This record gives sequence, C-alpha cells and structure tokens, in this order.
Amino acid sequence: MFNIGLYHYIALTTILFSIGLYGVLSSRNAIRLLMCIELMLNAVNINLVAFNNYVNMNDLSGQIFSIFILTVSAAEASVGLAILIALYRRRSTADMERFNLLKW
Amino acid sequence: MFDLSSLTVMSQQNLFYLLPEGILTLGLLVVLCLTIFNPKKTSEENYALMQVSLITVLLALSALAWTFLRVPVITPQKAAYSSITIDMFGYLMRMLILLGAGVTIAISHRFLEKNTRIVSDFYVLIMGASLGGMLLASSNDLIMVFVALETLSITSYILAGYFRRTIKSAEASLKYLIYGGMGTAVFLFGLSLVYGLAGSTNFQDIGIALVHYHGVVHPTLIVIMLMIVAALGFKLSAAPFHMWAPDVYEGAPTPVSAFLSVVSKTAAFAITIRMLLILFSGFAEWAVIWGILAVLSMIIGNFVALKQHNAKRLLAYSTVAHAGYMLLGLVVGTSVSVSSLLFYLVTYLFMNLGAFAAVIAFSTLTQTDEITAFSGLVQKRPWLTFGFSICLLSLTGIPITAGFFAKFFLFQSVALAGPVYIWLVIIALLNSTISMAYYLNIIRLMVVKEPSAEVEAISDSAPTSSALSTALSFCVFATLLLGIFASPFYQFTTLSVQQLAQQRPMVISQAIFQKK
Repeated sequence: MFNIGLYHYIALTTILFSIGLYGVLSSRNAIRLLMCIELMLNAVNINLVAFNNYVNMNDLSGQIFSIFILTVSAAEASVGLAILIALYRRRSTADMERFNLLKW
Repeated sequence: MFDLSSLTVMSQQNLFYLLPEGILTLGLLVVLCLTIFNPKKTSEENYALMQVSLITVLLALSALAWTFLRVPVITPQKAAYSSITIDMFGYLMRMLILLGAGVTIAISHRFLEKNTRIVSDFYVLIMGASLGGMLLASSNDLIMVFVALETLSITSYILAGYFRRTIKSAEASLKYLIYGGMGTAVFLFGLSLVYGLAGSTNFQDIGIALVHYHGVVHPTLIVIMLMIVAALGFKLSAAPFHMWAPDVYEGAPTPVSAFLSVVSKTAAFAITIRMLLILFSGFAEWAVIWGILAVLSMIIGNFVALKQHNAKRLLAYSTVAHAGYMLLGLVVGTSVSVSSLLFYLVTYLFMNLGAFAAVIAFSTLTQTDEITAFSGLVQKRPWLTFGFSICLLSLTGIPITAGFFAKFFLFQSVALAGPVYIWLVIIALLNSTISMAYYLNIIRLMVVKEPSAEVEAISDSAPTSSALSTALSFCVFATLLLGIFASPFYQFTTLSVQQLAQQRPMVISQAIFQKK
C-alpha cells in the first residue's frame, strides 16, 4: 500500500490540533472546553514522539517531553475541574455564557 | 555499589547556584506541613505563618545575593545538565521575582484575614508560583521552560480562584484557566515544531541548528513565530491577547492581581527576552510582530483605561499599556534598548506593587475599589494618599520619580536606534500623555474633592497593618530613590544583556561585534 512517514503524523497532529482549537473557540460547555484543550495537548504529544522518531533518534528528549506534558496536563485538568465544581455549586450550570459577572 | 564517577556528575550539575530555589522549596514545604496538620488556626498562628513565609523569601533573597557574591558569574554557567543557565540576567530576574513575592506576602495578610478563614495556603501558593517564575527566568531547555511555566501558571489559576465562595473569584479563575490552557497548548505546538526543526530541546543546540534558516522566509518558522508570540503575548498580557487580564485582575483577590501583574509578567518577560536573544537571534521577522503588539497594547490599554470606574480594572489596563511600552525595547533589540527594558521592569515592579498595595489598604478600610470612592482620602489618610500619588505619578512618568527615568532611557534608546523607530516613540509619547488623564484623575479625586461616603465612614481608630504599611513605604521609597540612583542598576542591566549576547550561537555573535 503506502508507507507511513513523518508527513502523515504532522498532518494528523495538525488536524487534531485544529479540531481542538475550533472546539475551544466555539463550544459553551466548560467541560467540553477542558476536553478540547486536552485534545490540543495530545496533538503536541504525537508531534513530539513522531519528531523524536524521525528527526533525532540519538536521545529521547522528545518522548520525555511528552511524558512531562501528560503529567502537567493532568494537573491542569484536575485544577480546572475543581474550580468548575466550586462554580457549579453556586450557579448550577457549566455554560460559559452564563458566567458573565465579569464581561469577557 | 558506590561509584566515584557519580560524584563528579553531581559537582558538574552546579547545584550550588540553585540554593535560593532550594531554600524557597524547603520553606514552602514547612509552611504547607504546618497548614495541613493544623487546619483550624487562630489569628496569631496565621500571623506566625505569614512571618515564616516572609522570612523564607528573605532568606532566599540573601542566598541569592550570597551565591552571586561568592562565585561571580564572569561567563554564563550551566547547571542541572545544562537545563539551567546561571548568568547576570537570571540573577536580576530572580531577584525581582523574590522581591515581588515578598511584598505580595506582606501586603496580603490583613486583606486575607478580613475576607476568608483560610489564610496560610495563600503563602504556599505564592511561594510555589515564585519558584516556577525563578526557574523560568533561568531555564535553558524547552522541557524546563514548559515545566517552570506550568508551575507558575497552575498556581496562578488556583490563586485567582482563592476566594472560591465568591462567584467573581471562581469565574475569574475558570476564565484564566481556559485562556491559559489554550495559550499553553499553542505554545507547546510551537515548541514541538522547534524541536522538529532542530532535533534538540537545548537552547544552544537549537540556536546552532536554526542558523541555517537565517534570512530565509521559511513557512514553518513563520508558524512557529506566530504561535510563540501568541502564547508569550498572552503571558505578557499584550494586546490583542490581553482579554483575560482585566477580568482576572478584577475578579481575583487584590493581592493576587498585584502578584500576577508584577511577578508573572517579570517571569514572562524574562523567558521572552531569553528565547528571542538566544534561540531566535538573527530572525528579523520578530521585530515586526512585536512592533504590532506593542502599538496595539499601548493604544488599547490607555484608551480603555480612560473609561474604567473600578480601580483594579483600571490598573489592569494600565499594565497592558506598560507591557506595550516595554515591548518597544524588544522591537529594537539593541543591547542598549534591552537593558533599558530591564531597568523599566525594575521600576515597574516597585511602582505597580505600590499602587496595588495602596488599593488593598483602601479596600481593607472601605470594602470597595470604585474610583469615585477614593474622593477626599487625603483628609482621613494623608500618608496613604501620598504613597498612592507617588506611585501613580511614577506610572505616568512625571520627573523625579523612577518611572520618568525608566521611560526616558527606554524611549531614548528606541529613538537612537534608527529613523524607522521614531514613529514608535511618537506613539509611545502620545500614549503616556493620554495615560496622564486617568492617573492624575485619581490624585485629583483624592486631594481636591470632598470626602465620599465611604471615606467619611473610615474611623480614625481603624487599625493599619504594619506589614502592609512597611511594604507600601518600601515601594514608595524605591520608586523615589531608583530614579536618583539609577546608574548602578543601569550598569547591572547592561552587564546582564552582554552576558545574554555571549550565549548566542557563535556565527551570529560575530556578526553583532562587527556591527559595533
């Protein structure tokens, strides 16, 4: 059939990243916003691992970088969910448009 | 088995230079343990924890001075497997971050006591954020940049939502987190492409690998630049990526706004300057992008600030405008202009923290931060009015104050760089004239007008926090004295920029010496 090369990976990550960015800019639900940010970060992870494999095999810095991103994004998501729960208790909604005390 | 070679590896890591960070981490853990194991604290215990945190920051500051004097950095040193650079620039930025953290801890105590039951966690988070900022200011590796940046950011998100029972605070925090998370993701995508081009995460290796691309308009590099500028512009709160700043500054507890506007911004400027001067030196396209950002920030910041009626929101837009002035130094990118930018950062730290300290003192007395409420404050609290006025005059750039000298050095260095940049200076001067309107309006209200109902209600016996007034006087004195004794600081900033230039990949640094 055909060989999968670096360009295919980059195409995949670009599409994934764009879907995530579109989701962040368009959706109103806070949970979905957090998921879209995760999608963007995962695109970055695939990018780093692919570059590590195709560009520089001598060290593993790309793969280590992606492990750091996984860890830190978990921390970020948990903080985000905690804040959202605190807010949900007050407002009973996760709709970003309803959080309008401060003008966007 | 004990291996001798591991000892040499240890000494090569130069961990000695990271003593201030170590002290800060230890102090952070001590305060955290004291907080966890004794959840219900009396007011005295909270005060003691504040003192412990303050002493930790002061110890870290003295450790910074000690390491600096003990082993002078004649050439930049690498530490922790060259993921950290130790140079004069790093020392300056780490000093500023620690000073900002210390002042924030001092000004926040009374405010927190008045507004929430949980006080001591705040200091842990402030110290954690400063730790992230300090590592960011001296990082030399993309992974280090990311981890340090996220240490700073995630603690900032929590800090912004510190009053979680207040809807405004939680809302500010969630907005900050979503904007910030998006910024981080875009930044990381840019960094992953840099890694793809260069095949390394180390700044020096990347700099050498990117030399091939100098003078070539490469589409990947344009994408990388746009992504990195968007993310760093977000951190610097430069327009058009400033949307989060007013919301977060208004919703977050006031000490947090002070911290974000000063420490977070200093760390962001540190990494921006480092990346631009080391990683991407020799790419002229940056200047255009930063120029657009600078002009937009100045205009949007100043014009929108004119219409604000909340003191915190006004200061938020004023920080956007100041980010614009400071970016001018990056646009030109000569060693004189970058060192003027560093001097501007030093003065900005004191004058902005002073202004926020005054707003905190006022809102602890009256529970409001509306600008009209400041009317006639001079009749009740003359010294607070004096301190706030000095900081506002300095932010405007009135002579004698440090703000004037900082603006003067910066604009002069930009104007001398070439006829193209004269327009930028003219725009900046016009903008500082506009900024006079809203800064001086507050002083006029405080001094000339009759007292407002809130000011009338301040009783003469209302206690003033000694930590807060000490911190405010410190900021005011620094704002007054920095202008007069500018030259030692200016020498220090010049040396820092020279050391940054030494770290460029060799090909470029030779070209720069030929230019001189």
